[in-house]
Amino acid sequence: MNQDHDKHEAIDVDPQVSAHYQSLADEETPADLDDAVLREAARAVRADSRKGSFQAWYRPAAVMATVGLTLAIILDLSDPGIFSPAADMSLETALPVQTPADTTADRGPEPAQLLRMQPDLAPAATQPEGAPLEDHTGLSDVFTAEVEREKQRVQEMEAAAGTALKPAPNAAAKFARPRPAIALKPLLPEAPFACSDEQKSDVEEWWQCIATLRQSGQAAAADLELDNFREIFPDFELPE
Amino acid sequence: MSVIPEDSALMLRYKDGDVTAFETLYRRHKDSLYRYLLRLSQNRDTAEDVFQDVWGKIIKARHRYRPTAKFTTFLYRVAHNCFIDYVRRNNRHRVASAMDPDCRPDPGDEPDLEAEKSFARQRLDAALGTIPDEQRDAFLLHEEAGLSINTIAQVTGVNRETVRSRLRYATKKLKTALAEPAVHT
Repeated sequence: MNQDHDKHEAIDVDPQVSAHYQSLADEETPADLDDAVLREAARAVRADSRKGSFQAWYRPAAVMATVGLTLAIILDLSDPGIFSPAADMSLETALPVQTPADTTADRGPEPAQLLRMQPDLAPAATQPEGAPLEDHTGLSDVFTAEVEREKQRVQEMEAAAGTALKPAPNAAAKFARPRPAIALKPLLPEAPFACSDEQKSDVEEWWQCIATLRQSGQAAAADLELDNFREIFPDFELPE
Repeated sequence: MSVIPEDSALMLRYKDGDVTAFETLYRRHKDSLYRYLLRLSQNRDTAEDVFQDVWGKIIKARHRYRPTAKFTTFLYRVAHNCFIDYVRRNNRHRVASAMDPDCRPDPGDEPDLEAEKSFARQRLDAALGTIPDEQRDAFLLHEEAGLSINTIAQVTGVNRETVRSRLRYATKKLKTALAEPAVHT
């Protein structure tokens, strides 16, 4: 006892009182209390070692799992098959294919969808209008016929509406082909640009044709026809 | 000649998983700590509860233990705080049965001498019961734990002069109480 006491501090405690106390301080800790404390200390160390052995394998396992998952993701992303048109096509071709007989009754797939199914048609569509499409893919003629039919349908719609149809943004990107410039036509009775040879064979009909040209606002064409008319029929008396 | 390991070294060994180091450390300090708590609380049950609580805290704190101060300072600071917590939790600890004979050593072959000692211990416990808790705490830390005034000041959280004052008053009162004529019942 008193191993920490300084000599000068001993004056704060009377030596007789201190000696009396020390002579009577002989109580000991009960044995059951000793057992309880030592058991707890041993249990804590065992728990530490269990935790340590768990950490010994779960950390490397976690690192291995993380590395494996990262490699799997990298390899998966670097696989060109995932985002390539071929893979896309393989999904599309899994859909039921319509026969020509079916397509006559049905409207058929959209042009954009057709081009997705047949991606090599896109460069072919950039060829001049009327040029035959080259079959790069070797796919069945069903799709080619569908494309042709769709193009024809679009042209009919444009003609009927009198204006150019604006395709959807996505379809425009994929259905890339040069469109012919479509002139806006007046909604008037159709007027000839020049008189036909049949009309020119008869003086009355030729004169009527020139009058029609002038009425339709084609004064230059009418004047040209009138000059030709005077050369051929110089004696014809022109009305006012 | 074997070198007695320092308390801090034993605690560090226990921190590394050496249970025998803890056992050595425990046997070195257990009795004085027990007597400190027994005389401080003047109740055997309270002393045992707090004693177990103190060692439980020491065991749990082994990973955070740093040998920056003496182990006894660390141990008795924990004990002091545990006792204050216990008193607060239980409003006021029961004062009784501090003289429980279970915690005494075997009387041996000298029953008359042991009876005399038992009577003297009763008088000491009664005298300790008459002084305030803070003074008793300072006196017991000085006598049982062997702490210096500075260390007692650290453990109890008061300044050095307060500790000196408490020790002086405690000693004076105990001397007076023990000097009174003994009354055998």
